[in-house]
Amino acid sequence: MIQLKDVKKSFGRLNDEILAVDNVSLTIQEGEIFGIIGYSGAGKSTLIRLLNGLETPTTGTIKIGNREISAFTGKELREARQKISMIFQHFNLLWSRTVKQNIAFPLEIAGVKKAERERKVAELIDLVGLSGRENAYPSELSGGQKQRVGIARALANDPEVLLCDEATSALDPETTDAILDLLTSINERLGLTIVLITHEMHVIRKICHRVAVMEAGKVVEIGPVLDVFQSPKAPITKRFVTQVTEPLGTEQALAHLPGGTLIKLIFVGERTEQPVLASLIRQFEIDVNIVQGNISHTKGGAYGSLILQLVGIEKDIDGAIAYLHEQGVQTEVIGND
Amino acid sequence: MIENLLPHVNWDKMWEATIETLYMTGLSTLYTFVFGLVLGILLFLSSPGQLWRNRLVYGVTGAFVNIFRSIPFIILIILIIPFTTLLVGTIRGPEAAIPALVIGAAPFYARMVMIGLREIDRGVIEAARSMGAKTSTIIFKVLLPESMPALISGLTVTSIALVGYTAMAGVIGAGGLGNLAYYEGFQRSRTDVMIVATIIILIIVFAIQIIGDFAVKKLDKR
Repeated sequence: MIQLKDVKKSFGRLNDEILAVDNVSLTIQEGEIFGIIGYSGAGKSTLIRLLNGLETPTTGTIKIGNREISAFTGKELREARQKISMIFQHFNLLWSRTVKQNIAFPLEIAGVKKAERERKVAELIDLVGLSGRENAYPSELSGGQKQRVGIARALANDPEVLLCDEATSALDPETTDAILDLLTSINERLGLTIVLITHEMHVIRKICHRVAVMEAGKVVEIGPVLDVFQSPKAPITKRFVTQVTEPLGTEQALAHLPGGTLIKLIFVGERTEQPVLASLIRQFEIDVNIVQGNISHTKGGAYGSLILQLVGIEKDIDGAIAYLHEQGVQTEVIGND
Repeated sequence: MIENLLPHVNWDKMWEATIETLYMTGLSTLYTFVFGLVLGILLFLSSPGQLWRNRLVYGVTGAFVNIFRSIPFIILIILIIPFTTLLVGTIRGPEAAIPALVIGAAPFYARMVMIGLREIDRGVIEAARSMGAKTSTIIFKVLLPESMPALISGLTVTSIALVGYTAMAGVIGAGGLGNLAYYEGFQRSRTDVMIVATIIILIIVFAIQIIGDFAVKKLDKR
């Protein structure tokens, strides 16, 4: 569906060039929710803007469906953009227009007749759950409602692709979840391909099928979300994964634990439901202290992590760790005293 | 009673002068709005980082605006006499004041238009582009409506400045309240005529300000 091939984008003049996107090639399937995660300055904003031609690549090609976006200019590009819509971190609604008029704006651009516009707008207001607010101005709406208007506006011309530029970063956690649920249901109901960029692993975990991790303009890791959670390879990916698997303050808490061996267990999928721990305690002469545990649900299945403190003689501890490996539980020793 | 207090005031002449001032202010405000808007939009779009970024256009428009904004109005009227004669056919009367008034005020207003347009969130323009909007659509459906309060309050300030300019134009023969106050009042030492003309000018200015403020308040939904 979406194909990027050797895409590079640099800004600035010859002498002090900034390479925002550095040789990125990737393919996004039709109907997929694809996440791109990175810290600010990683190049993800530029990358997503290449997809609708708001930026043009310095080298490389970008294809959406069978259209080569990176070669389009003028009218051709404007028409293509009507099928690749975008929502934004700060919503970017027109304050001078009501909810209804904001949603009608892309339809006006596409030259849709007034009666048809009104029908479509009413349908979209219903879809995003804004009934009763159609004549309000954006200044009278909450952040979550503004993003709903943004989403309705983006869906107006029946796009094939929806680009989300940090769409939930300005929202509180509850509203974020509500907006993510709305995006998921749109993806399922309309079969829309969604590409989103974010710096929050939570967003990736909750709705994405696949994820690409970006650092300094490069894609350093890419794969199904559960795989990336289970065995992150790049250091930056590991940091992102701990964002959701380890609550804030875990490190400090670990530093203050006296004695014993600290191990981290990772459970994926069905393993999360098996009583590995109980049999461990029964078989070995050790004390087990549960330090911290966590289960995250991703689109591909559940992912759990458990940090344990094992106290006992060395032989038993080694035996216990070997047993865990045998049981197919990923085990990692993270501290030893 | 009024005759005793204001012995020299000829109300017919005062009324005629008021109409002339309103005519000059109204018509020049209209033209200033149109030309200032075009200049301001051109300045904005050609400025660095905008849709039509173009150093040459930006430089030339900017220089034009700065030059005409800097020439003192009383000198500008005299400097453009040949142009006025060409355009209107005379240099006397309210019509003859219009070209000088517009050339004096439009560049001033253009700067205000540009300031107003710059305040528009860049994200909103980007959003319109991402929907496939043409530049003309962006101008008429995004730039103008989104900056309308700033455009109107700028126009209010400009229009009030124009009332002052018409008084100056009056001194060189354009008619209006300034002309009346100067020739009938000051030069003949008829203080009452000056005072009445001044009060009428004040009323006009206040009226413009009130209408302008009201319009801005109505339009601003932020």
